Amino acid sequence: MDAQLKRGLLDVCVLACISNKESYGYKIIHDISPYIEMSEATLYPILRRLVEKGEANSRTVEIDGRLRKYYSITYKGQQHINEFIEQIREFNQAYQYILKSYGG
Amino acid sequence: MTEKMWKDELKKYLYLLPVKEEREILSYFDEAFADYRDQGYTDNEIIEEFGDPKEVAKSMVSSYLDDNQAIEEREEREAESGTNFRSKIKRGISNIGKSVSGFCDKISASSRKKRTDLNSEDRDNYEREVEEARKKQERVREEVREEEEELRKLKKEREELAHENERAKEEKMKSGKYVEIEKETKEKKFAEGKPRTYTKAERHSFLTNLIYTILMLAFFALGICLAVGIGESIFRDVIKFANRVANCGAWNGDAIIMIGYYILMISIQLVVMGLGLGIAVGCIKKIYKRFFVKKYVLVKGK
Repeated sequence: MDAQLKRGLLDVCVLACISNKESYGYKIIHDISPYIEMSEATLYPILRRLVEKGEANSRTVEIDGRLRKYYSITYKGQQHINEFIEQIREFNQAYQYILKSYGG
Repeated sequence: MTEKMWKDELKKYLYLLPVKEEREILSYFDEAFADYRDQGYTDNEIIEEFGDPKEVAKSMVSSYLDDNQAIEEREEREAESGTNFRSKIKRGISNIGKSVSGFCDKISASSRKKRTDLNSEDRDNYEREVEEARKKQERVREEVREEEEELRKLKKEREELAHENERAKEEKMKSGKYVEIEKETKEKKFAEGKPRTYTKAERHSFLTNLIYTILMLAFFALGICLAVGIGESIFRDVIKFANRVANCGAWNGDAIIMIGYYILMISIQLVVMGLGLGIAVGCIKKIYKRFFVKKYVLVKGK
């Protein structure tokens, strides 16, 4: 997939994954990977970037004697998703047109 | 390869990062190893899943460096656009902080560079590879930014156009023609799942709102009581002061001390009264904001 497209897409996928309920590294990867390729090495920089930009929050919780970091979405993150959806909607119109013209 | 060997190998290549970041990455992988093991993976399977530690380190380091550069560039751009006094001072303070922490990072990186097990040739090769990866990311980021800027420009133009249309429509609406159409578009927008806004109160439970309101009202009452009580005392002091000034026989030192005393007392009381009023107004404002100001955007259906 085009590197440019993928960069923005992965950020939004991770945001969407934590939008309903807070989640952690392993779970995020396994929720997303059926839809788009994602590995531990790609997830970490995304999470760090999202926290830095204020689009996600993180908190560390002790579970069974070890630490786990949970991530949750912020208001700014929700805005990011909304903007992205808006863009995709416009994109979809063009896509439908291409399919109709080329396929039909 | 065991978990420890994989992590040691990873750590060997993280020397270009600040210690804090290195620690974050290592604890991230501690957590990942534990989570995978909980799901029944063996060490070998986990390591296969994670890949070559050198490649992982390279992607971590290059993305960290690129993100840092992106932040710097963004701040520079913001600094160019914002010229007010406050933003200048803010920038100055953050620059001092940054140069101190940057200096510390550099010292720690160079000392860790010496301590890492890599020989100088490997180190140079690795650093070159990291730089290449970083540049590649920078290119992608730059392209994304340019595209976003273009999109923003387009959006702005479109908004301006829409604004103009809106104005034209408003004028027509005054004649009563467009009311129906307006209602229809609103319904359509909702059906399409446009984001809607909520007040803070709507997002919390009834009990929380109740407790919050009671607390705020209690503080409001406290503030009002304080203001009224002090106000009354000021009123009495002023009358006393006027009486004493009227009955003052000679304007000697005692009279001046008396005047000074009353002015001091009254001004202190005025400050306290202001505080009480401030608390009361603040509480009412908070309640208003919680129940009437719509702020939280959520996508429909959640």
